[in-house]
Amino acid sequence: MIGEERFFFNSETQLNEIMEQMFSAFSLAQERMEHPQHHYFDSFDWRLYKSGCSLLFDGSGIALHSFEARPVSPREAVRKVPRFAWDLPAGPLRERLTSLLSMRALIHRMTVTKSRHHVKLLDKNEKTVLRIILDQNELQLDGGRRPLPVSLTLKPLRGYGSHLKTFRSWVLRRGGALESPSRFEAALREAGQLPLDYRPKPELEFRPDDRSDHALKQLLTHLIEIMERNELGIIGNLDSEFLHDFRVAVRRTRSAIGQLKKVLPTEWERWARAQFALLGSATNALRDLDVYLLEMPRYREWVPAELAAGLVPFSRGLRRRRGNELRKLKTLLQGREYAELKARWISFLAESDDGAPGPRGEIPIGKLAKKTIWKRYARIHRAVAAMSPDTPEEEFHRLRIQCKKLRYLLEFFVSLFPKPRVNELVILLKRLQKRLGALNDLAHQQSFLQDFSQKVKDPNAVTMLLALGCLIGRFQERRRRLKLKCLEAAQRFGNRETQRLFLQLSGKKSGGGS
Amino acid sequence: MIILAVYNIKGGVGKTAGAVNLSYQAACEGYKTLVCDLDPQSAATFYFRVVPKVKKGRAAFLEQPKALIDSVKATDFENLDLLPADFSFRNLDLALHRRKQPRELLAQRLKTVGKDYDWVFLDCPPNLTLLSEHVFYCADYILHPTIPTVLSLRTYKTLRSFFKRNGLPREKLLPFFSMYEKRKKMHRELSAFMLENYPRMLKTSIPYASEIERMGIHREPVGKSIPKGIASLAYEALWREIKARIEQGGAAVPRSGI
Repeated sequence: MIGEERFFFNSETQLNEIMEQMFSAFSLAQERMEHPQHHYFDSFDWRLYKSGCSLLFDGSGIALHSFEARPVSPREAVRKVPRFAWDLPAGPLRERLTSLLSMRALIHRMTVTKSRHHVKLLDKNEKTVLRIILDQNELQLDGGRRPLPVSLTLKPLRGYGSHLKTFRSWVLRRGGALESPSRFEAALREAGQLPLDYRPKPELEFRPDDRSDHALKQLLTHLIEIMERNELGIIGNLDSEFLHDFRVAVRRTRSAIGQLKKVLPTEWERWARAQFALLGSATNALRDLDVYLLEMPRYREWVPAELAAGLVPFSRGLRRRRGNELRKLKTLLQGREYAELKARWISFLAESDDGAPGPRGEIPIGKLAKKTIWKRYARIHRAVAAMSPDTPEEEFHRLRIQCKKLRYLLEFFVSLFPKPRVNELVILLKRLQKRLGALNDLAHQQSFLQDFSQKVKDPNAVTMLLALGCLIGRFQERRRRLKLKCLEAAQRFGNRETQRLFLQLSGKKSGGGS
Repeated sequence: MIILAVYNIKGGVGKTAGAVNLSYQAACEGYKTLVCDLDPQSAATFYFRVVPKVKKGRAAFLEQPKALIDSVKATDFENLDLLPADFSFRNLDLALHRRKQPRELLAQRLKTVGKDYDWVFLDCPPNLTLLSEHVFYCADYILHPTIPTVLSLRTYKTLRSFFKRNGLPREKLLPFFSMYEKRKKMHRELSAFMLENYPRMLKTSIPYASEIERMGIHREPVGKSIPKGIASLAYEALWREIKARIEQGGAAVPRSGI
């Protein structure tokens, strides 16, 4: 069976003109007219767009559509667009959206209003042999509407291919051009949306002989922009990833300043380290609570069915605490102090280099990056060499932090090295980090649960305490197993081959000591 | 895929109306539905405004299944397609019979053309030929529209005996009253008698209604032209009962596309 095709005419062509020409060339009947509104949604970071689609809500249902306006998923009848994929009833669309969006919220991107004419092409028996939809399209903007080109959709009927062919040729002769992805993108841009404009990971191009202070300022400018991009999402409580990305930007800022010491002027370095440390701490509690709430489905699986009810008051307690922490953070982000911090920092970063650089500010970034990366790797290598099954868990947590710092360095300065080489190292590092991260998360969550349980005052909360006790037991067991896996992964990372790759990257000869 | 053959040896009892209107109900529920018009009179084809032509005619059934598939046409109604009749089908039974394993051949062709559908309705010609016999074997159920008269009862009994003699399961038979006029005493009495003595009779009857006769003028199912009319509502109810009866018999009814 042949699928639908959509054509667009140039912006000067009017719908009435096309209709008139169509009706004089063919035997047509108008079926009905309607005025649908098509609302398009995606996540803040364009996850659907990256997968070549968008979520379309037509007033009574939602479905994923390709950029060529073809449905690429089953449709789900809804009265309004759910915030998250998990708000949909179970079914193929929910599954698909969950895999694409994960925990990101759907955000409205644009609305197109249509004057839609349903027309049918008839044969001599007045049998419908082709359906045609003509749309006068308008983009909804804050100030009003902007016309978009007229579109014509052909909906072929089985067994009537020759009629489709004839009509299609006519459309092409009249200047109709097939729908293309670029048209969808153009409409988004006209609506003020820039697809894929959000790239939290710094992808900056440095040259090896750039001054370190210039390079660092460029990097820090990107990071403060990322923080700002995520503020409204945190304040609006849209989804947990806004805070996550905000915190990662803060962490990267601290890591960049902390690892490239003495590149910035000393007072600025001291000031920034203190300010961003405070900012990071201010977001810890809320992020922890977000993570626990996201983990709640897994907790339910780990607890015997008879204790599952105990997790309800626990979840409620978490939500209450989360509400309080969110209010605190909103106050901070909307407050004068934070605004002043940003203004001061942005102004400093934008300054020309007439001010005195830090002691190492003028060193070429190529040289400094290699040295810092090697130093960080060497420290990890030493730590791993000293590890055994008896190594306390805190050492693994320290190792995790070192690995994160190394990874940030590789990501910051990827443009200074052959990309495949850096990517290879990042992959090796990610494998180790994944294990270490999981161990850290378990420790953290277990500690939280213990703390939470100890503070429960309600004497009737027996089921909840039993449920939490069960979870704590599970965490303990998993930590024991995971620690051994972390050791294996660390030893794999610390092998000769990885050392050789880091030596190569840093420009050191083999045998260059750690 | 479930194949429902709408059959009665007698003409003018509402077979084509049954095939067209029940298939329309199925399509409205989101089922992918195909009507195969096996009657060279091509009444179902006429109702759907399709030209009664199958590429390669009878040969499509016998030798060229691709031509059969290519001849399927979408009707004006979503989810509802039609394999039109062709005048060459008038000798289909004889042509089939000259083949080896004609029954298996028919079954294969129906499977080929119907594989993408949930329901396949066969509008059968009003006769008892070799084709009819093959249809009895190939179809999952036989919908038997019956006007509640003495002669119709006799016809139904003959069909039942035929099934018995030829080892065909009588559970396939789904008779229902058609062109029922409750103002007629004979209709009332005979339908009560048949319901009591023939448990397989479906309880829902299709009334005699001018809107069914006017299908020939409107050339569309009654569910489209008069959706809240007595005929449309009756076909809707009959369709529900048919599905329920199929499920009661242990067969799985396809999941609706809605």
